[in-house]
Amino acid sequence: MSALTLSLKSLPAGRLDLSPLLPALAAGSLSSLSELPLQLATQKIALGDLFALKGSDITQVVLEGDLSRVDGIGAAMQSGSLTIDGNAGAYLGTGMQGGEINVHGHAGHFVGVAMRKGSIHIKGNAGDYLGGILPGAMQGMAGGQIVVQGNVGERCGDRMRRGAILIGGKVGDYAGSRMLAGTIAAFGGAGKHAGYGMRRGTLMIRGNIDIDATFADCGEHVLPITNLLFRSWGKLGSPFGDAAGQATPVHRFIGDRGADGKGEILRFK
Amino acid sequence: MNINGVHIEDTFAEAFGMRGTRLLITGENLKWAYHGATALTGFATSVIACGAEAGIERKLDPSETPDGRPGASVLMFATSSKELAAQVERRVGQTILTCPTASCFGGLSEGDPIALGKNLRYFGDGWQASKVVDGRRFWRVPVMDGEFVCEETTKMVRAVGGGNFLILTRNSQDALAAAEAAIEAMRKVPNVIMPFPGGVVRSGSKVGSRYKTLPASTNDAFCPTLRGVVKSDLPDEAGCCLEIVIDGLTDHDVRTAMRVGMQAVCARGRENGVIALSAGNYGGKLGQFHFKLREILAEGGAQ
Repeated sequence: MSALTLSLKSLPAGRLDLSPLLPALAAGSLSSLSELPLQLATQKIALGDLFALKGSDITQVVLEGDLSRVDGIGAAMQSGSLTIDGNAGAYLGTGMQGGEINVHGHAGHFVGVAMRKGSIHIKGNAGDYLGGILPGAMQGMAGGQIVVQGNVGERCGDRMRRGAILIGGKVGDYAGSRMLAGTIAAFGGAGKHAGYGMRRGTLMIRGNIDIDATFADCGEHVLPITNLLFRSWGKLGSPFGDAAGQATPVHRFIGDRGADGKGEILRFK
Repeated sequence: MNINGVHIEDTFAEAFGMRGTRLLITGENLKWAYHGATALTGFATSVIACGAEAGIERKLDPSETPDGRPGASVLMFATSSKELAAQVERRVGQTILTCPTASCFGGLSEGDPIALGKNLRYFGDGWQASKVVDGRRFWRVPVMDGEFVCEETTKMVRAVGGGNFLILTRNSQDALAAAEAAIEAMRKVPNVIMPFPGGVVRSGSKVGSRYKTLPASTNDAFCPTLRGVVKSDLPDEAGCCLEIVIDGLTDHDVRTAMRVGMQAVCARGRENGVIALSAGNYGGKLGQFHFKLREILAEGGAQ
């Protein structure tokens, strides 16, 4: 069986919501997939009108074409693999519960919001609220791993509860805002107000970062736990594994003392 | 059966089901990892009064440990799951938490989880924090040299304790040399420990005693100084007897260690004063595992 491949034929103006795709496949409706109704801006349109279908292995789904206006790709994913051979729109992997998503290009805002398990790997950049929270919910990302090789926008990991976000480049302003637990590591610096309102959890930042006054300077240390983290990330290659196997000193700041104040920013070189 | 002039008694070692776990202790360097591991396995020779039987299984290279530091692998056994859980917490709390730079990890991938750092974390008085790495939870407890890192749980498995054999020799020098040779060979066998001092025990016991309060007492049948007054099991030429006790994760591991150890003793042979090999048992009624000496040695291709 070859991978189920959906090639985008053309996309009229407006944004397309592709979130019904994986639930429909999980319900076993491969034969009627081309009739699956999708929301394109204000109108309904059948999936077959937009995508050419090929292959039948629903455990390996491939999306081809520029999908930067296609939202909700991989939403509620349970298992298997999903490859996006280009850019992805907003809400990639929303509420994901397992499986793995690979994006060869960039991804939009709200990647992996309310994610619980599984992994997302983005070769390019990603937008704001990555690993964040859905409106009305109490917690953001609650498990799994998101790896972005490029840069990430603002409010990354907002109200994050568990799991890991790894960023090869820079993370934008308010990284780890209102964070409850989990780990965010950025290897190309961070924007302003990192850890704003964070209660627990870890922000690891290599490079430039301005530390807010609500974080207490606890000095430079070599922490054994970073050995475990760097070794685990070693298999992801550079820059994530650069420090694997070395005793890397980290400068520890505890905060946000304006919130519960048991989180930490670990700055390292 | 006779190997290299050493008589192999037609008897068996009687061993018991135990609960066991493996812990990996790491440190800034091997010296401090071993300080921790040695203290952790101290006073853990027999469950009769120590609560647990424990020993260092082997040295670990940095590439084999979860945090990439040098370390030691430790096996610990107890008579029940409750007792093992209590011993692990008490011992790790007093010896690894306290040992400079040391960290503690579970070393088995299968089994029922028991608490390792799960309760020790409260030593952090609210400053403790956890990290989940690759699905395993680790606790970080702030201590005066930085942080004590300890995995939340370790896996417990059904194991075998009390595999043994007795080395009967002309005198005590010959017995020590034979026992040392056996232990050196047996330390290379994975999944086993020999919990007594230097791996060797001189106070083999029998069930019962003449005193009401004492459930076990000296194994007089193998005491050379009593040979004229008790029903002795010592051959005429034997002037000394030492025992090696083995705890292992499976009966296969105990068997392998017994074979390797007995072969090393037999290799020294009669010319080095080794007269016979025997084993301790309780008539076969108490233990679930019977390790027949002749059968084990025959499996190994010995003559």
